[in-house]
Amino acid sequence: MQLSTEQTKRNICTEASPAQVLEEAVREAQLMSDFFRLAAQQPQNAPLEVPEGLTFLQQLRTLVTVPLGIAPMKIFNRDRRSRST
Amino acid sequence: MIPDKISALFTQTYRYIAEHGLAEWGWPDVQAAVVARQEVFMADRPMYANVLPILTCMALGGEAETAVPLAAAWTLYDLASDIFDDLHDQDGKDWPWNHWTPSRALNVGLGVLAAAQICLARLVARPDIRGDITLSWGQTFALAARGQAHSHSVCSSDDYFRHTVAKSGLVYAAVARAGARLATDNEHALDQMHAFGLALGMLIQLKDDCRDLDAPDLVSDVSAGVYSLPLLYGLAQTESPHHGALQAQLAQPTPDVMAVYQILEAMGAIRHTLTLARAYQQKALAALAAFPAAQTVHLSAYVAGFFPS
Repeated sequence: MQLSTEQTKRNICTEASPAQVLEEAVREAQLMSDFFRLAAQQPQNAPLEVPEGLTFLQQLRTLVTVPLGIAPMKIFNRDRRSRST
Repeated sequence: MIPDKISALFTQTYRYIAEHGLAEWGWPDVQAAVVARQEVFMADRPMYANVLPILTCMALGGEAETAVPLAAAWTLYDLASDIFDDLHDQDGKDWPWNHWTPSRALNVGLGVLAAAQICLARLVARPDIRGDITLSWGQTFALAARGQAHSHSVCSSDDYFRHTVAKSGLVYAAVARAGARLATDNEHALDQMHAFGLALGMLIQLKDDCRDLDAPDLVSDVSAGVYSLPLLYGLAQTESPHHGALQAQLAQPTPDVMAVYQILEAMGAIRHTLTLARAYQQKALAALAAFPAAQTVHLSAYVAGFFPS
């Protein structure tokens, strides 16, 4: 079945260019990393200021308090031919 | 334990590669590279990564068979990328191509890329969907290659994240989205699957970067002068009592990799990186929550398995 031009137009999905997404993802990664670094330096009970725009981190409060009590993790696959995947 | 369904999809993907990607122009070296990959990944978690586009297609209600050529193409692109990465890194992984001369490995890598394009060309989909996927993969893989080319010049966390997003996050995002694209035109659903893949790719790379520091049998990132997040984190802790020891180790012509790892553990650098990886794990699971749970059961199991509770 051949799609009409109109149908084709309607079905075009536009993915943001990878270069655009890159900048946004780098910013978010940096914010998260800074947040966890600062959190690790604070006493466990101190309230944490979640960076504006990173509401996702609100759900992750356990991550910034729990790891301090976790023993060093040895969780890696020793077979270096395969990745963590 | 890998579910039978994943094993079946994995086998189907490699059968497709053998019958439709390689059979017409038999080249023993390329076949050896593909078989080696299949044997190592078989019955282990990397099987999920190979069949990722099939799983994301199924998550949107698509038929698994539709996405098999896509999984075959992705598996071959990923293999070619590893062949080229190994030529670049020279870190001693025990793959057949690392025992070959560089020119032989280089040509096999090009052959694998060509086989990937053959599989992609055989994808049965509407022309606009095929165009969308081809453009997205081309742009993304070009960005990833650029990121890999500059891995030795990373000297700040901003460089590191830029490199990691390009080389892993965006690649998995494009692959996850492509599978979903075969099943839907819904932009919101495609954005969700893209976000899932991005988080998954970041999770994988962050975990790999921790593991690569703790590899006494191979050339680690430390010896190779590649500064991944744990090292950058440690070097930024100038007030830490361990900072001097870390600097002294890195100043050595051949740093003691295990000593560096222990220093980074003591500084909280490994923990920091794994915390970030866990955050991306949660982000990936949150993105999947937008879809019916019954359709994302394998994807969820895959992501949850990175840090089993």
